[in-house]
Amino acid sequence: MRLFSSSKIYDFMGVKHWFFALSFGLIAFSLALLLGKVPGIQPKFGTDFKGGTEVEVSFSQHTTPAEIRSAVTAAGFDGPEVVPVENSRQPNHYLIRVHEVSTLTEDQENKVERALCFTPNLPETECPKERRATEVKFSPGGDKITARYREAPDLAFVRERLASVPNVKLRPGDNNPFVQNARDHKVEIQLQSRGDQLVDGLRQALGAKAPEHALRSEWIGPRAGAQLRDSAIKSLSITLIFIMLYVAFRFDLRFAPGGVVALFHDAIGMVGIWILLGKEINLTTVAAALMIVGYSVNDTVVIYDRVRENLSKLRGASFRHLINVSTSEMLGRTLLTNATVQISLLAFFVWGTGTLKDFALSLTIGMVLGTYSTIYVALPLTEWLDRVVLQRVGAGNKRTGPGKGAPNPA
Amino acid sequence: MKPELVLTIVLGLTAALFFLIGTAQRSRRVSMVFAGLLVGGAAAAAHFDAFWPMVLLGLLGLLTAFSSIDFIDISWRLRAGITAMLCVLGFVVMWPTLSKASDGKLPLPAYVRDRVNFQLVSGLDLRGGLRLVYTVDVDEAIKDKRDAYYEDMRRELAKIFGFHQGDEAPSEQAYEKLREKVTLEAPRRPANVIKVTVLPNTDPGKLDQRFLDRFAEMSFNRSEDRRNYEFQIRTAVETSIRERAVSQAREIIHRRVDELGLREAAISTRDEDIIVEVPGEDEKGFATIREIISQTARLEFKLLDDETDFFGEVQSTAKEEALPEGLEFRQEAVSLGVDEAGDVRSGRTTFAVLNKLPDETMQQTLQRFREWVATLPVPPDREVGFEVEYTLVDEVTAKQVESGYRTYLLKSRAEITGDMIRDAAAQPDQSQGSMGGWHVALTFTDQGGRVFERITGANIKRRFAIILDNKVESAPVIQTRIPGGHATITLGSADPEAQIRDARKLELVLRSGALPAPISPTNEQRIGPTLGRDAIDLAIQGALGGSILVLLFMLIYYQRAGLIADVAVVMNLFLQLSILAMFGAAMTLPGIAGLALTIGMSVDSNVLINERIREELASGKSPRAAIEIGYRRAFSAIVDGHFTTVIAGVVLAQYGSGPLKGFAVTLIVGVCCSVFTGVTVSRVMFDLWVRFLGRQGRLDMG
Repeated sequence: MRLFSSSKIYDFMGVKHWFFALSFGLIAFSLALLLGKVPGIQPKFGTDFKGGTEVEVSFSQHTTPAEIRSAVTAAGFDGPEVVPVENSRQPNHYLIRVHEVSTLTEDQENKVERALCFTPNLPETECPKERRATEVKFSPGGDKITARYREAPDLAFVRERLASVPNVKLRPGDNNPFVQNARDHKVEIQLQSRGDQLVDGLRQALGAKAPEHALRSEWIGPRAGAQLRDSAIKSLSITLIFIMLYVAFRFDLRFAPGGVVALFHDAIGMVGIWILLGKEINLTTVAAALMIVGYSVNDTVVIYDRVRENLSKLRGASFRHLINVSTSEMLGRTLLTNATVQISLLAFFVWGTGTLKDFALSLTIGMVLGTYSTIYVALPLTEWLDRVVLQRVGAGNKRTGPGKGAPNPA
Repeated sequence: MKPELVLTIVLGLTAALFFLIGTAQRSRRVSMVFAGLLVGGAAAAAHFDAFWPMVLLGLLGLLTAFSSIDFIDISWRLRAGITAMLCVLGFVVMWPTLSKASDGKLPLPAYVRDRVNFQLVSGLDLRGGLRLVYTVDVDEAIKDKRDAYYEDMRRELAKIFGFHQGDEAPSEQAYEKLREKVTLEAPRRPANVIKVTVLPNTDPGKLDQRFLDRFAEMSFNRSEDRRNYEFQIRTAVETSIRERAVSQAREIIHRRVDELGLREAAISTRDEDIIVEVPGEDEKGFATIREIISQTARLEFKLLDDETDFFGEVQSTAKEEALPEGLEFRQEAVSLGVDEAGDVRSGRTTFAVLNKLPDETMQQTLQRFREWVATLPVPPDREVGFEVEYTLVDEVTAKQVESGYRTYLLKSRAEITGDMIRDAAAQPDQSQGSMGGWHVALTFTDQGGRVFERITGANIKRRFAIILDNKVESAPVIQTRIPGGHATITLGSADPEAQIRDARKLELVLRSGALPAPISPTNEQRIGPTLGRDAIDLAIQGALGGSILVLLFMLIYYQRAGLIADVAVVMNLFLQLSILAMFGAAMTLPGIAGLALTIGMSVDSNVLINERIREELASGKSPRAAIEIGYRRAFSAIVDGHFTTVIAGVVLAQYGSGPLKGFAVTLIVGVCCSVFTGVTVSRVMFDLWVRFLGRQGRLDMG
């Protein structure tokens, strides 16, 4: 079976300007998206990066993760993570994580601080000295306030004062606020938050088997913080340098920038498209981006290899013709490899849910970009560099010799 | 019959057979005798129950024997033999995993189960694991900061009153003189307060504005007569101490878990809690992780005060009924440094031992001991240290058990602390007269090395205590001044197995650094997979379906050559998984991305080769020549493509953290396997095929 005859030569470079502009636009647009500079579209970072609200619930009857997931999504939460807790006493026990949080505005925070007598220079009549908080902290999820006092605090006073703050509601219950640590008079005040909204949504969708209250509902910090981001950026930059050196050494100096620009193009472009599709960026997206980096380099180098070989075979031909010939010769292989990987991803599209489907989708985007960028980013850039170098040298002979390390034709 | 015996006999007979062939056939004498020796070695290894040497020697022996068969050429035989050998090796490694994955359909003999410890663990997203919540005892961090202020303040006051100059730590005598002018107190509770009292014989004006400005991070209340001060760490400072303690603790836990292997734990914080999620389901692994995470690993070196016979006094004054049950006083001979003539001064000192009661744990004993000691009037700047006491239970085997705790009277100031340690390494004890135990060798930082040299030089023939997490590990006598910045910690336990384990753990926790404050477990839950079991079942279905489609596609497109490519790709996957199992890596979604990528690349290699061979065939070359040239031409593309990917992998493994690292390792392993299977394994099959085609045959590549 054969899909392409290897003898036909297509004029890939004829339309390169259009695609060059497209790629440039893609990179610029993706960077703007990633930095949140495009009005209307903000990158959505998942709980992995941003933290979020974690709710622990226990159902009275058998409930599947899928049911919970759809109930939470119906309540307006995006991409919840539902983790079963294996507990023999409570078989239907779950942790639910969503990235939505209920942040307090600065104005609200100021009002709360005033209500807790933390704002300096309040009159003695409003805030007697012994009732002043020495520290007030807001949880980043806006669901909890902690305050410290010098002496045992008057909880009734705290409750009464907080009731006067508009749009800040305490979670109902006798045990709120409560003294969390009697040693340094630490008081915890729980607020109505997205967690409560989530439990309400569960009850609406699942009825009586959903609990009245969450066992626990609070903000959690991100798993992958600045540390992961920094190490990802650092390793990507070092990788680019090393790959450039390797390509320059194995092929030719002209080939090196094209490879890494294509790689950068693919990684950034994939993230940009991802944001544009309104998908959530999480650790899985990072994994997909890394895979794309690997694939993109591989694909570019394989085509480069053919160009290198043809450099010595077709002496005297223009670089542009050389690229057209090499790309056309490799077209069968390129499509075949892409097809096989796509076939293996197909199943995830058909059967996969949530994360897996997203994962397969991001890989597909990346594969297409990786293949495209070899032809329309890496090669034209190499051609352009070749022209610039040739012009500067101003040499009469049109063709340079074979690249270093090119195999001898047998 | 025991499996060891069966294996020994089978391998022994095989070796004998090889020797026989070797003597019978002159042409293969050398290789058959060599193969016989290797298999004989495997038989010996089986007899002594050395599993992996047996497997390796046996396989090498078979490989040698196989390469001497008269078939195709030696290069082909070697390549085919190595391929087969790796397949068998991979199978042995994967045996427990495969058996588990097939729900026991593939039987796992107890013999293999006990000897092959490799298991492919599924990550948190695929299988779930253990979720641990720890609370950081931030008060302890605040107390530490307060104690640092206390030291600073004391030194500053000693300077103000003219008892001390310079930046070095003041001497004991300077502090003694200071105590006659001003007293400082750092109470246990509240932990953020320092009380300063200016005694009546002293001018309170000495504590001038400059002194107060120096400690501006503390607010103070002062009595009317300016003689009583109460300093308190400011709230803003306290808050930043708390936050730093939590974020540092998180970092250190991360480092510790990372050092345990490629488990890819997820760690996040929540107020003053740290949440650690570790994948897996093996209780033994969890126990290690719990222990490693929660060990504070605070290391301190403190000098002993053997001159003051504190417990001797306690013994003579305390009433019998006030003493805790199981307490006894003992005496020991100690050296008290050297006098001016250079002779060792010796003396006797008393210490207390609290024996463990039969129904008590060691922890409870220590708790009881500490409570009793807290009621004693310990002199200022002194404290009591506790060390595990062992009792010999068996004269012959020298077996010891932990029987209780003993005391040391220590000088409160920590001369050396954990942050002066640069590195730690567990080593077997090779000094003379040792019982072959283990110790942990420490390397100090430059500053730590200088301090250690000064301290040891000034305290020859005195004892100092090495304290780990508030327990004395050992209290050796300083024999000489020790330059060079090295020290060793000898481990108390007498059982060598326990010693190795403890030494390794100590090495790991000292390397990753001490936690800024102790942490205590508050909650522990077993959690299921984050992806959801339904999603995973679908994913497995999807992966299987996808793979079968790919294999079928290759088969249709390239026909017989497609079959060869299929075998190469499947073998690549298999080898890759078994190497990952050897590393103890956890399979997570990022890991699977790495797997998918290398499978894609392995398909790509085969496509490149096959397309090349087709081109060469089309230009009229003979099958043998087409394969030869096809492989040679495709080789440079495959190697360059793979090598650049390895570059990315190596950089990620070096600088990446957490999931990046897992991905990188999968990638590197996969790429190496892919080159091997793409270039070597498929070639072996092609060569075999060409051989059977004969001279007139045609390569049918679809």
